[in-house]
Amino acid sequence: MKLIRHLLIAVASVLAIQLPALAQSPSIFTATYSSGFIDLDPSTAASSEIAVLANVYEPLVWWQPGSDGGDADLMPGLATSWDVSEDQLTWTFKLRDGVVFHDGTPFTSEAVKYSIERTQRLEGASSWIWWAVQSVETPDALTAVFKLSDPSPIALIASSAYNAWMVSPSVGDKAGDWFNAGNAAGTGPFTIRAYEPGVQAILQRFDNYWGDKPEGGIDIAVLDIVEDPVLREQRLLGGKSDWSENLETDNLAQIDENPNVSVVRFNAFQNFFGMYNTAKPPLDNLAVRQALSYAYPYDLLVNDIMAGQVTQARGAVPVGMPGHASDAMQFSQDLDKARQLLTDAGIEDNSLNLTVTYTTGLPEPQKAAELYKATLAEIGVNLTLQPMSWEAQYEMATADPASAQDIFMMFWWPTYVTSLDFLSSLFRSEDTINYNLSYYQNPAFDALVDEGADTMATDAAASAKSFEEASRVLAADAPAVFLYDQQSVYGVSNAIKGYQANPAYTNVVFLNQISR
Amino acid sequence: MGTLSALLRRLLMTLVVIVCVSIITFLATRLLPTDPAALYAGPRASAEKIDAARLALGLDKPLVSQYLTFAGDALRGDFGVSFRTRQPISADIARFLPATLELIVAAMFLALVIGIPLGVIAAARPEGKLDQVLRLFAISLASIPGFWVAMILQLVFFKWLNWLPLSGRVSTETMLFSPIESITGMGTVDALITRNWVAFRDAFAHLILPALTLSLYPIGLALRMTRGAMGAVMSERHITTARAMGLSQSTILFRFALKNAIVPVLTVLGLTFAFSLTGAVLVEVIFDWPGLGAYVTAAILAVDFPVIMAVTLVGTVIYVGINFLVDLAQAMLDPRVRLS
Repeated sequence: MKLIRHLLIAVASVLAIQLPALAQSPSIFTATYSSGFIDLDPSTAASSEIAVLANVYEPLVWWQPGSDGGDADLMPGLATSWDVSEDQLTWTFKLRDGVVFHDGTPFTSEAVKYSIERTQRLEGASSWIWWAVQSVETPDALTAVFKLSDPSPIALIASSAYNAWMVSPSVGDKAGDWFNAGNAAGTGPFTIRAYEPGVQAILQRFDNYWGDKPEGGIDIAVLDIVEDPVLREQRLLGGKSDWSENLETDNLAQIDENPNVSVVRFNAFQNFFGMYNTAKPPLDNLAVRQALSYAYPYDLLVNDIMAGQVTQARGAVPVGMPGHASDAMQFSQDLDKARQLLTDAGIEDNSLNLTVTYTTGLPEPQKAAELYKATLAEIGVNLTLQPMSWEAQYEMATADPASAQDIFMMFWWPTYVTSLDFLSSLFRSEDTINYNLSYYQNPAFDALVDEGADTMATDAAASAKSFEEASRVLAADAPAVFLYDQQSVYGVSNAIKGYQANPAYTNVVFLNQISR
Repeated sequence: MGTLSALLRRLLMTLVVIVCVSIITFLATRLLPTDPAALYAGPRASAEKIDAARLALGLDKPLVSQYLTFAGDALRGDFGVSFRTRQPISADIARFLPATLELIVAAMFLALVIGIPLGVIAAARPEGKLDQVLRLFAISLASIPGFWVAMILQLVFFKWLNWLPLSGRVSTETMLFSPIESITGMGTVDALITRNWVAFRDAFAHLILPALTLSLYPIGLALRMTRGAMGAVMSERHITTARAMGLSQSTILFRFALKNAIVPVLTVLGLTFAFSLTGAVLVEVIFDWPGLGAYVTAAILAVDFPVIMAVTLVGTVIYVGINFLVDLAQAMLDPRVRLS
């Protein structure tokens, strides 16, 4: 009994003593992420760790979304201006003067050369973006010249969220382990103060940063990993966190009602669709593809299953990205029309058996496929669901189109912001099957895509026009059922000012733009 | 049979169990319908990359040689690299295991200081009002789902009263301005050793709710076990003698009766300790406690099987080890118990 009493007293006294007031309190920002950072090596990282990297490192060029109706544009990063030669094989970047890396090394053209070569040498998942670069020359300290084997939009590529960060040459031969131990060598406005894999990363303002600190800017940022969605929400609502991603869809309305927190939404450059097998009957027939596209209950998917957190897709390029055609064909559910199209195509009721494959583990494809099965049954089409691991799904799709699935559902997102990654990677004719899993072949479409690719580096507006036209052609030809474009949804404390998401850099909070 | 040879035989059995578990875990992960090489190579990997991963992981070799490599490395404390985090698994376990142990030790401490005295009190007047209330209390504790209690505790102590922190091991302020130097990896212990009082208070406050949640079942168990064992002891003749000698009730209960009743209680609590290694999973996730449970949950969801294998093996070793120690302790406490 005495023991318990002592214990209670001890607990009470511990609770009673408050933490001493801090003499000089720095401004702290706390963000909560749902999954851990994996690879902090800026030359190879290909995932969620850009949340850290985009604040610690800088690229030569940033990609900026269009705001207030304006066009998206490339903005100077560590390069202040750039130029491409007539033959599109030489790119010249003028570099920002007076920039130093966190370790004090000055940022020069040698650093650019080192960073690109390191990325190519380490062969990370996104390093292919530099495939055309044969060499980086350094005529003077503030000029870097990229020599290419083939025309390639290097300025746009330099704005990639993956494998395009500038790293201090002082890193030398050090490999990923050094970075994953919490070391960094960037020029960004923040340095890594502490890093515990799977738990958190603490970033601290870099005093010798070349740029300005905003009025009321933050000094320290804590990026916490919290895997439980309820806990992420509790932390946000309880004022323990200023920003959170991946909140429970069902709770968003309730979160938004909290006077201290707002829910904000941004376009995300990721979409979800089902690719029709155009290489074999019956989906080689446009009428059948149209019938299947008219059958899908888009409203149910978008508003009920996805709770309005996505928008119905219009063609292959997500909304907000140059090349997205706002007047492209968009199907809406019309079962009578679907039935009519099937009858016209000479398909008898209940004679059509199709299979759809999708990746297991995520709830969305499962729900989207089940919904499809239910509505197709209404027009006398039997859909067999085949959930598989990604490897198995992909292997089946690439083996032999004649015996492959009828519909292949998947998510897609670009490495750097270009509709080429959607139009070309997914739908341009391929000799060997890579990601054109519709096995779609349309020379007129290919020509438009190539036209857009050719002018990408020299005339962004003309290139976007070609891509838009290609998007229109594609949408009308329905080589896939385009389901939805993803949105990024975040909960943000109202105490934070200046927060803007950039869809090119998924889930990044640009710490030098926000203030309290 | 001599005690020593019995001890050796018991030790041998323990080793056999560990080897068997390692074989079963190894086979189970090889039977999964996913290609480890493709997992290792990462998303959208080319066929060449997957083949390279297969060679790097030694998956092209026969199963037996794969197992022997795995077992050999594991003996040296090398569990390979996690597919998900690319971190050496041994280092991860060394980081996460102390957090879990801290939680379990705290929970067991609560079970001892709350469960056992309450059990003794309940046994003082068998079938009395207090006994019945405590019985209900114990059964409730043992049967309420921990994750529910955890959320209620968070609601009451964080959201309404704001007395205790919501989650994590220390607050951001402590982490930044009075960080705990890692010695044992257990936050409260390290803060105590380094006399970092600010951090100790903070770490202690963070420990209360998760430890309390995890202790509910053991408290109920300890209460019932103590009550049961005490019931039997209280009707024995030496207690009647003590009563006749006019000793006070509390002396009889705690000095004489409890001493005889405590062995089975400690045995069960020892086993519960080992069991909590896996039982802590939910508590760790809800309180964002960076322990082994949260670690292995994430690994299971990502089919990160080197981690699953390593944690299973470490869990087995600890479980079997504690079992062995409990047997040993029993034999020492109670001469009637024989190891054979």
